[in-house]
Amino acid sequence: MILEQIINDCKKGDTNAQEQIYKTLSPKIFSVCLKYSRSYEEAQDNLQEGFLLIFEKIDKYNFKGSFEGWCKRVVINYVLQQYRNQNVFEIVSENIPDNNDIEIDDENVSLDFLTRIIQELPDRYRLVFNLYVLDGYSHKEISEMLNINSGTSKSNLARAKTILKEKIELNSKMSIPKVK
Amino acid sequence: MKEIKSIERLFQEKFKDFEATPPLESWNNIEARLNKKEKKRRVIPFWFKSTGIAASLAIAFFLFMNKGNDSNLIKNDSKIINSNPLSNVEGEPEYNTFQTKSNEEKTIKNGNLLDEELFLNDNEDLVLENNNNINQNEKSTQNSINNKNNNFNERVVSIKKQKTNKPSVNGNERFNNQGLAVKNKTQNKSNSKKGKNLLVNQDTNQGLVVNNKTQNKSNSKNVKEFLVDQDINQGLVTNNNLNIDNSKELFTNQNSNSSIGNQLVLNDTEEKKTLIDKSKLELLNSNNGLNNEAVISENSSGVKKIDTLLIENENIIANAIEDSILLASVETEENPLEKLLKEKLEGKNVDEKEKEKRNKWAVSTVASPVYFNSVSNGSSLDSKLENNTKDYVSSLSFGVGLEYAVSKKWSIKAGINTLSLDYNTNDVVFFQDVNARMMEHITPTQTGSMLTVQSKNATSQSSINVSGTLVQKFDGQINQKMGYVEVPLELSYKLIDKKFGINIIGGMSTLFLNENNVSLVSSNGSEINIGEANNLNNIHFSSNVGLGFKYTFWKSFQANFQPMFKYQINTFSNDSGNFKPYFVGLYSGISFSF
Repeated sequence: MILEQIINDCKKGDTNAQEQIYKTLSPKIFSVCLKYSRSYEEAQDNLQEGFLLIFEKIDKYNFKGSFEGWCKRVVINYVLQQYRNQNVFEIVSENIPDNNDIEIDDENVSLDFLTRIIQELPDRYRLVFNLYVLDGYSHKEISEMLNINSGTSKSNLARAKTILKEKIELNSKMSIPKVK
Repeated sequence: MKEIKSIERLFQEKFKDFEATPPLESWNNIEARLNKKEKKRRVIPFWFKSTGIAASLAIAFFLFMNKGNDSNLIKNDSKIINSNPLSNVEGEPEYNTFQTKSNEEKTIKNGNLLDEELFLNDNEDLVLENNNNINQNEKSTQNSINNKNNNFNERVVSIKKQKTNKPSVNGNERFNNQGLAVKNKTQNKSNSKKGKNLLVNQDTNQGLVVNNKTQNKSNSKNVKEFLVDQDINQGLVTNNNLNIDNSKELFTNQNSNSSIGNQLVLNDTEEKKTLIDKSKLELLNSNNGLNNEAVISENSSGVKKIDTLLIENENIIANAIEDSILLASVETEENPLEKLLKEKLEGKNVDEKEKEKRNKWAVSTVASPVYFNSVSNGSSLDSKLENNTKDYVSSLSFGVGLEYAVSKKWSIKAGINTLSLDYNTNDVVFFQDVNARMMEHITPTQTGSMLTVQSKNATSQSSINVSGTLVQKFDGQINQKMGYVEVPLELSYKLIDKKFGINIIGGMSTLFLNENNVSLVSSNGSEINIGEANNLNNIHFSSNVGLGFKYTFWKSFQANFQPMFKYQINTFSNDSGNFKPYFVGLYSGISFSF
């Protein structure tokens, strides 16, 4: 109810309401931005643009579904738009490695590290990986969102996972001596 | 601890509750951008808002200036009363009226005292004696007060002495002498004259005020039985006595007030202004005792009718007692009066404020197609054309209007519109004729005077005129144009007053004729000006009824649409040939209210 009121105020352009929404949602939205962006700085930019977009389009939010989810979608769509038109050198690999299981040491794999390696992924891989693995979109949806076919989406995902796995394994190897 | 996990699960688990606080500057950036956007979006309205504010400020400023002046005046006046009675009394008529109003109650009490001054003057000598007695009494009882009184007397004298050319000088001197140095002498004098009275006076002085009052009342019943001197003495002694009683507390006050009395008395003798007289009387009454002393200094022509004076004296005494009681609470009493006044003024202010809020002027522009018509089929041009069909040409009317909202619902509207009415009378024939006969109500031009115009139906088909020559007849129509300047004055009542509003309009228009033209239009299209109608009134009226629709589309801008029916009342001076014109206008326009 309170959120609803704030949203309504926000629709009227109330700056206080906007700030309140920002304060409530920015950690979630920023995490999204971090995952989808190339770097922290870019995530910051995307966060700002994303929120501006949220406030601009808040009129269109009709209280169906969670507001947080709606905001996330707005931001994700914004980020996707930034990368959509960029041509990614497409690696068409028919040999998708199936074995994605890796041996990991929980304590050694920090969230920061994972975020960093996601950010280091090529744009398309990163987006597909995020969308599919972390935000639960289907390949079909992803293919529509990114204007690619679903095969590409699948292959992109596989490539992303391989890269990530390699990086994690490399990281574990490098960190083991430290621990010992 | 090592686990084997799919990479997807690893990320899902890790990012499940992933939240990252963005840097602080992010919000600042967003906020800045938001403000920019808002500004961009609202450039025009914002500008308008500021002009609106400026305009209303200007209006408010002027209103405030006017009101501010008023209230300042009043404030000054009340200050005069309270703190500065000495300086401002003389030349201020406003003050006098003001005080007269504020002291209405007192005036009523003292209403029967209009001749007081006369009395005081007339009985100068007696009063003087009394005064001396009192002075003595004072001396014996309250030396300090007496001194003060003497001081006061000196002051009075000094004031008086400035006006040396006055007859009152004598009185002053005497008074002065009595008040200061020659007390014994005067006392003796008075004693020799009215020893009895002195005794009585002393008794009453020692006694209670109430006693005096009652005694005086009984005196008034049997006025003539009492010695005049005695009575007056008693009365004045009472006054003075009371004043002495009060003098401790109110001495300064009395001093100043009685000085006013002096000044006013002088004023009065000089100018005889009734207003001043009234306020002076009030002052005199409220400070009767000391005033008596002061007024003594006024020289008078001599003793007059004693009987009437007695009655007056009695009244004065009674009033003096009341007044001196009043005096004790003068300050506290003036304040409530002032308060009342202030409240009154404030009330006025509130009313004015309400008015201001209601004050809604609106200027509007209107344009309207005008559909001219007649309720009957007559003709104003010639009775023979009555049955001819007529085409009414719709024309345009436009103008400006000013509307003033009298109350929430009612508003008065005035304006000025141009209006041209135009109609054709069909099926006429016209031809040149030596004995041309123009239509009844037309003053023809030169061309017109050579033409005969007839209704087609009425003319015989013969083309041969009286003189036997063949004439060519032309079919055509008569076009009559009337141009007016219309000044509508209408009252409108709002039925709905929201964003969309409906109101009923009723009123009248005054129409000033500024175009009057009759022409013949032949069937081949050529037009000949044949003259002007001579039966049109230069000024005529119409009664108007209509509905008004408004839509507030932007702030104080409204779009208006008003279908109006206007029935012409005395368009024609004499024979209108059963021609009863009216017109319907669909007035639409934009108005701006402020």
